[in-house]
Amino acid sequence: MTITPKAPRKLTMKQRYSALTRDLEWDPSYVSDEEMFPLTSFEGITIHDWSKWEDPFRLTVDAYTKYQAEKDKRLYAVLDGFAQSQGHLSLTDASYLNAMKLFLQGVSPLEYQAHRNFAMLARHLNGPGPRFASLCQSLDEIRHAQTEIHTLSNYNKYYAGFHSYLHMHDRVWYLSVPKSFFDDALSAGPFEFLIAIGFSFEYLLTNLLFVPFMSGASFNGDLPTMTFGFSAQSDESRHMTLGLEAIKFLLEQDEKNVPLVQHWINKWFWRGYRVTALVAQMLDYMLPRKVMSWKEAFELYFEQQMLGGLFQDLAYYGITPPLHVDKAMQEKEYLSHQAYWILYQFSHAAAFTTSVPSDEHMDWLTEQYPDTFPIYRTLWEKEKKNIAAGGRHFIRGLPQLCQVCQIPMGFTEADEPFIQAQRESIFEGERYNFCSDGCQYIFDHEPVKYRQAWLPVHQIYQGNCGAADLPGVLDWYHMKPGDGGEYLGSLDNQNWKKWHDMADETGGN
Amino acid sequence: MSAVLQDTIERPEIKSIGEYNFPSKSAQALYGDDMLLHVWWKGNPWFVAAACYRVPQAMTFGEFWEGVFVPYHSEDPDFNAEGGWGQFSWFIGNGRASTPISPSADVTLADLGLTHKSVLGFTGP
Ligand SMILES: [Fe+2]
Ligand SMILES: [Fe+2]
Repeated sequence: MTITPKAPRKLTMKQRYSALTRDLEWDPSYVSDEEMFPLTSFEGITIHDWSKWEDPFRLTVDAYTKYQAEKDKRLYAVLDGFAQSQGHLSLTDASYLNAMKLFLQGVSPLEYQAHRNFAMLARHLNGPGPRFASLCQSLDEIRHAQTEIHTLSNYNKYYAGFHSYLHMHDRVWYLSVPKSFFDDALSAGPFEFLIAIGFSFEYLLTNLLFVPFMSGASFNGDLPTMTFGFSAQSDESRHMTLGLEAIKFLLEQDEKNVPLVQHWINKWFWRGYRVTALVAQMLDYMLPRKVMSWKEAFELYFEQQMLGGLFQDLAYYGITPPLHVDKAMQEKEYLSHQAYWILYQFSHAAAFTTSVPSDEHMDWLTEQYPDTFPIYRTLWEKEKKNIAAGGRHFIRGLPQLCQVCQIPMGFTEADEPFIQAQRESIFEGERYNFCSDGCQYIFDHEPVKYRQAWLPVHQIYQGNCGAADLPGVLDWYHMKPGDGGEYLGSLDNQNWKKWHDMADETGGN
Repeated sequence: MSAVLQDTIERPEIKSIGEYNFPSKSAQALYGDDMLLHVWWKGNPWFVAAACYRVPQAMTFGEFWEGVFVPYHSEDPDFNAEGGWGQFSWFIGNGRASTPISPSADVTLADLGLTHKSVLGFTGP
């Protein structure tokens, strides 16, 4: 007797996806749901039916890996070509790389942390749909971390400030801004994390965070970073869809979820927005060839796309735009000027360099910010005189920090360009300082969490940062001569000139 | 000796997977007899933010002026140390509010009413 093997049944994409993801789900019989998923009840979110999660993309692991491998192949081919042809010499200027130093030190480590937390969600969410989506995002994020590190590692052979980014991320004062932001999300529950990172970071603010760096790269001859950006773009659109699906799912499951979600939107908008101060100054001050101003980016990517689009849709669920969004809209006129002025006078303690904007650059800023930049220009004119007299504005001490965002308290009241905002709360006998109503609001709702903040300035004064003097602290940061300070005359600036002179000499006949 | 501050907020309900009550990482006790003091030149944007110093609570204002204040602020080319502290109006900042004070050489920072992480503000000249 012969057995004819059955012809394999051809599944449609949808069936195949279902078979390989959702159909692998089972109901526990030896333990209760609560024992199997112990993290999804304490936040107070009510989910009635996990199967109502709409899978925004139908991807299977084999399709996923095949697709990502092809993207990697293309990226690594570009990286090789760029390295072999000394591509770094065709950047607009070595000072452009300050933006990339900031990216590697501040953002790439967050990709890795996102990988970790999405892996946790891939285990801990009750529904197979969101678990699989989290698994894919977790894989995306570790790939982002790896490819960013590889992309930028070529520059580490030639330029300062790229060498100890992971070590620095955990220790350096300005990197505590993005680090504490993400640690804050990592230490929240899974639903809050979904709103914090999945929704607020990956949807609400992603175009403000990610696009400026990648466009900056393409405008300034950084082909590898641009290629990385393209390679990550299709992942990012999946992440945006996941973030949007997460919030809609929570809102549709139970009305009681709405006020919780609204509070998280209020909190995480402001938390994320404060991190974008680093992007704002990068766009307006660090790029030799400008892409667009922070104000334009904010209007396009936030006011038009989010306030004008997304929040119109969310109004259906009773969700309103984040609290304190009006302050962010006022700040678009001056955020970058204030953020760069902070970095400028503390760059002797940083792993990037700064410089007075050229006259041409200042004219561009005046065009972009006719109402505000002329006021800030007076500071640069004073600094130019200071430099002519042999000075360079580096602060001889440490700044007051905001307890929540950890940024030196240099942001002003909306109607006073030179009066810094001061807020304070007193909790269980101790005073805490804040840069804004937004940061105070966050603290006041969770004082026990934020009083544990590891504020770099306070830690230095406790003797926890290697030494009590600046050289000792910089040593503890692993900073080397040439990493920070003034760009003109810096190691990068000198090398750049030398290499270009050499290229000119040998380039002729 | 530090004054007892009146709380402005109460402890909200905490949602967590277990006992959650950890101390402040910036508590005054971590600085012995010293305190952190914020010094804010209100209206002078040269210094982008208020400064933060660790100073003894028993330090006199005269010592503070000489040893801490002047070296830091001399970095502003327009600052005139010779003018002395009388060229400025002094206050204790309290969020948006402020209380004027009149410092003198022998009074201690604590006796001026300054406590851990408070804001010593000044305007002028
Ligand atoms: Fe990513
Ligand atoms: Fe803040």
